[in-house]
Amino acid sequence: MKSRIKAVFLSRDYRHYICYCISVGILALGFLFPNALPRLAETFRDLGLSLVYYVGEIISPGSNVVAPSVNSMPSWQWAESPWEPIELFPYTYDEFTALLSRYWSTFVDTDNILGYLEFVGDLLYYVARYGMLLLPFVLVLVIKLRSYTSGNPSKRKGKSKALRGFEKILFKVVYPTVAWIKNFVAFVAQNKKYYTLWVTLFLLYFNLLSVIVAFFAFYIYFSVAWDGESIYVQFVKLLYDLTPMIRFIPGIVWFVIGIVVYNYICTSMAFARLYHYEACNRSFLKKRGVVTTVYGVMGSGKTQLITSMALSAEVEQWDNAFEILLEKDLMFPNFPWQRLRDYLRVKINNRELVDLDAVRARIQTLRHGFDNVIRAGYTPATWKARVKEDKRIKFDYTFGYDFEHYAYTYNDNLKITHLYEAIEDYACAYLVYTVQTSVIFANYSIRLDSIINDVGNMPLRDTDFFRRDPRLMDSYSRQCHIINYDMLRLGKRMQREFKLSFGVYVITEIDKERKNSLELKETKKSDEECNQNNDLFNACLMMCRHAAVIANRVFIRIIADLQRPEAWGAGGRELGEVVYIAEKGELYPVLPFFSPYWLMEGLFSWIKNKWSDFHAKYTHIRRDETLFSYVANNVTSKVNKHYDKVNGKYGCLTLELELQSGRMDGEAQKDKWRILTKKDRSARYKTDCLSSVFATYEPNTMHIDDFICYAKGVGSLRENGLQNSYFQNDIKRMHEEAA
Amino acid sequence: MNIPRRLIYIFSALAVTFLVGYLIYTGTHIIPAEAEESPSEEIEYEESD
Repeated sequence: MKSRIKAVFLSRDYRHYICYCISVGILALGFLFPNALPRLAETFRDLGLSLVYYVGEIISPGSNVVAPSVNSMPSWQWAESPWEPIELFPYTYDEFTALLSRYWSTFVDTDNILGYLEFVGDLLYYVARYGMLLLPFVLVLVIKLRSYTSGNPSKRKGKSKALRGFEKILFKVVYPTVAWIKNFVAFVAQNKKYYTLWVTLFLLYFNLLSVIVAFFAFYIYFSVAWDGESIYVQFVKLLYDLTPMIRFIPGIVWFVIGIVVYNYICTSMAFARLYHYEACNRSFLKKRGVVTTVYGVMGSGKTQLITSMALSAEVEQWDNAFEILLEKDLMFPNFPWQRLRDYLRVKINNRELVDLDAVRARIQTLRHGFDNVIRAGYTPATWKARVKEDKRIKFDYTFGYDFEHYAYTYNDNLKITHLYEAIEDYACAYLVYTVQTSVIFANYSIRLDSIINDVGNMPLRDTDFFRRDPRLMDSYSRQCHIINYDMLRLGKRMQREFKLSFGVYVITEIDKERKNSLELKETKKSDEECNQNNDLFNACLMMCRHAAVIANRVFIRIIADLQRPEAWGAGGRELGEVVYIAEKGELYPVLPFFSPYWLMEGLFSWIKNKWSDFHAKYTHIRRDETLFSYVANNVTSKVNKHYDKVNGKYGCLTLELELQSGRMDGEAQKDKWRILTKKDRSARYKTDCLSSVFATYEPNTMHIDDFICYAKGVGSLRENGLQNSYFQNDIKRMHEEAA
Repeated sequence: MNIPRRLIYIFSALAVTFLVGYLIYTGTHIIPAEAEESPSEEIEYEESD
């Protein structure tokens, strides 16, 4: 018998038995909430009566014989409630209004104000008294701290006895316990029946189920009664229903819940602000032309700005494409767009449709077929039969559209648009929208993380930069395309002809590539080889907007940066606007001022400064690890990590920009661009993105300490000769000639 | 984050706390209806409080 019981117990995961015990415990808690079930039953009665009242009001308004019960206070009870009622508000609205008028008269009452000030004073007095009690301990702590970093270097190495003991507890007790709890939570999450039971029981005990039913009962009642005063009664009833929950949950738990909710509100506000700033960036971009050049001093964040602009421009192109898809869909709502999408998907995957020209050519061929069908006088039914019978017809040009009953032209009072013109724009937009990689071409690598969700119907892009989980970064990231300058050359090319198509072209340090007329003195238009004078790059910039237009929207953007605008020839620069980074603001999280972050920020800065001083001294003087240093390092590290995470997620810095036309002769116009850390600094590009320029050189074999230093305040002739300077070499040569 | 902005935030938060505190304090110290009418009773109320 014993062994059988043992076998039964061992055959199941022991955690099931823990779950059974917890379930029994929660069931037993039911004695603390004796009125939960009667209250639920009562709300169902309210709901039933409200429904009857609703029907009655519709049949004979104003002369309803049914009295709804939703406005009366709960009365069904099995036992006296063990929870003391919360009597914050009077039971009726009239009493409440009377009390409210007295509230405001008290609010402005001098005695009340003085009483409050006295209360605050008393509070501060007690805080100060407890603070004074703590002062000696602070003194002891300071002395102890000093002893850690006093000038008596410890000869000890490794961990102190106290730290070893602490770590033992941590590794043997705390970590395994935490791991077990996490494991148990995962187990419960897997076994839905347990937590469903527990959640249901607590919803019942805390009257939350009753609140949901009561809400519907009141909603139905209110939709016909329009009884404004009854809202107050519902509020009082809600408080009554929630009393067991409010009283049962301990204050500390409420405090934690409060902090979590408060933090959630603050972070939601921060997210709203991030989206707003990104919308402002997009609006800035919309106002710019096709070509935008950024310049500023070294380190002002030019490359960061153009990267940020490119990211926004890419999303803008996709949004525009999606807008076109919806717009065309709405013009011909009964066209089988899904069939067209299926057709396009296959053709794009087979690389038959690679760019806008290919798409246009294909759709025009289809239109030709469609026009023939119309011209020949087919109806959709006869055409369908013909397609079925005639094996020579490989494809139904009409996509099965019922052109007999639905229109194939669209009149917007400006022009008549043919169905296939709309299809052409739709197909081009579809090509842009469903790009699997990226539309960015750059001369440095940019990480991108747009996700395309496709279950075989209409694909949808997820371009939300701010909700990405960095732990999954590798799974959804990809780098941008390598730019091929031949794409931007209308004249001579280095290798082959590329036809420019849609995309965002990003060029950092464009002046090094294009140079100005002074530097290009030696190169000629008539040269055999492709050079800056004969490649017609500037002409391409002038004309590029014509290369990628869909439904009157331009799908091309060229963004470049350089250190001095004069370093790029005027022919190129004058095509677009020049954006100067006048000022770079400070990085700060966009959380509202009352968020926990800002309330604690001052304290944390203070702690971090103290820790930096302490840690620098400590690591200088001694090499052992003590319990105190362990705790100080780890606590500061945890807080620091939290602050880094907050800054990473909600960080923002403002670049003050001055805009001028490329001719650099007009008055500068001021504007702003927000660098948002989650979007722009999430491993987007390497600050040393062009460092491969130096990779070709032989690596150094000398340490910086081994380079020769000057012997005295003034360098000798011999020392100056070591500079490999033109000037110093000239001087040396003059001396030699004179000698 | 420069100091003025931090100070503004801290003082704003303190001001909001002070105001919310006063709203709650007033809610718990509403003068009873009869006390408004009779000054002698108001004194009684204050003593009892």
